[in-house]
Amino acid sequence: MAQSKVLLVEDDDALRDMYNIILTRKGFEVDLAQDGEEALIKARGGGYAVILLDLLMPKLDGMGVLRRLSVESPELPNGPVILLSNAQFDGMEKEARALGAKNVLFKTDILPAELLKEVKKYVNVGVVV
Amino acid sequence: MENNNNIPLANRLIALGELSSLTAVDMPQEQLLALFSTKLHTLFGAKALALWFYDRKEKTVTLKYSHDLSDDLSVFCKDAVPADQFPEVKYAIDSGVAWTTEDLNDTPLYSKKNAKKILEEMGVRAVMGVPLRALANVLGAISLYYEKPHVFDFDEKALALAYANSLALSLNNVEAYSRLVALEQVKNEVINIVAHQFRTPIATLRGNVELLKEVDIQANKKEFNQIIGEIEKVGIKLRMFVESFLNVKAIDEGDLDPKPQHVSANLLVDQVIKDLEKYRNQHKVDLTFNKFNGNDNIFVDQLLIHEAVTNVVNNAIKYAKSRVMVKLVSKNNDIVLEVTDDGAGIPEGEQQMIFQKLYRASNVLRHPEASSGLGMFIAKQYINSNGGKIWFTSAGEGKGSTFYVSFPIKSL
Repeated sequence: MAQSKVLLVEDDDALRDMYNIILTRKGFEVDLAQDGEEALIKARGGGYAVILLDLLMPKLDGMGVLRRLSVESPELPNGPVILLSNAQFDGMEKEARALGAKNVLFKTDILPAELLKEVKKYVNVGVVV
Repeated sequence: MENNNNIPLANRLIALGELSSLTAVDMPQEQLLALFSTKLHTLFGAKALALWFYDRKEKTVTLKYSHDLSDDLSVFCKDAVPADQFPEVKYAIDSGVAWTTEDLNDTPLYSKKNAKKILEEMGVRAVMGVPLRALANVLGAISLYYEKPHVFDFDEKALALAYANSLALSLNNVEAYSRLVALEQVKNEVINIVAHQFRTPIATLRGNVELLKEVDIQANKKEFNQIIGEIEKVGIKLRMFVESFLNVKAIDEGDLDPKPQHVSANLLVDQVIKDLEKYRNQHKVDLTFNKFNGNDNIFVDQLLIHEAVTNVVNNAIKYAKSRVMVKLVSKNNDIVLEVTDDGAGIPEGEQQMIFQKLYRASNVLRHPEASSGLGMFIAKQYINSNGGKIWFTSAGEGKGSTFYVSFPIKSL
């Protein structure tokens, strides 16, 4: 089910666990990363249908990950990157899109249904539960 | 003697009334000083004017505003000057009424300091010093210098005093207003922090509740427990956050009541490090702890100091790049905790604000972790209330920092 593999990058335990439950319950294969460096290593391997990338993280933040990914090519191609943020910063959304993010979601507004809806836009779900 | 001012007092009184209507609480101080000084200078026919602010503690005056002051005097007043260098200023400040050349004759300062001669050399033949006073608060004084001899009658002195009083009152209002604006900013900041800190946990709660609705409890006990566990964690996070605000409230209201007892410093710090183990792992930070060699008894309130030390070590882990060193050492007969990180450091210009409420260094404002900006404030208050001290050294941005906490070792 390589096409339904999701990379979930989030440093907040509670949110990461929740998103993980939401996605795995619907049959997505989820890889987890808890900071930017870990995310970069996994994204370089590639093969993710979608990457959910938190903006504010230790080590390397979401923008940093986007910046690095924009100049590197992964072993296997990756699908779109959705940036997750919990606040609106000046120019953030524009910068993220310029660096290749497909969309920006505000974590404070995300309920399970919305997260699924967004992910399903880009992923061919092989398994329906 | 010749009176070199021919503007009738009534006109000057009317001008004062107009002046008051031109002032506003949000006026910059400089503008207010200019407005009043210019009117006083022209309507009272003075050659030059100097407006001084008084430092009660140092007994010095600083020139805040002037008109046509001689270059010599301006240079002389570049920095704070002892108030008794200017008898008319000194006496006006001390007495709260206006002092003129005639009043000054034969006063100790005027003759002793040879002030009269100095004024004459400056081409000043008459002077009036008017105190700037708002209620009991003396802000400074205004000096009016005349190049011709000038007789001040009672009405003119009273009117000059009315100008000065009106200015002083306006200055007070401006200051009170700016304090109000600053408080308003603090309030808004608190609201922002609170909103920011609560949003993610609340989103997590809502999300998990949604998940819970769909769980088949019988068939999927494991997932059910996991979700419940998440909800519990969020609850704890929210409680801790509210508590830090309540702690600040207790500090502000003077409700801290330390109950000191003999405690092992090694054990206390060890416990803090254990409590933070998970947090440290998340941050992938190495932590070393060098215990105290010898009698490690300190005399503190265990709960308060535990929380204070937790905040200090937590902070170091949060901002460290890869390592934190914790040490208990002996310094000047005190046991001192040293916590060194290799993190962002503290920008030089902000170092005195570290222990202020709601402070976050500008270089970590976008740090991933939401922070209340209360941790170090609480730490300092708790440590001080226990008779200890907290301070730090930082070589500046990007160079890490070391925080020191000294503990009293016996009862006070």
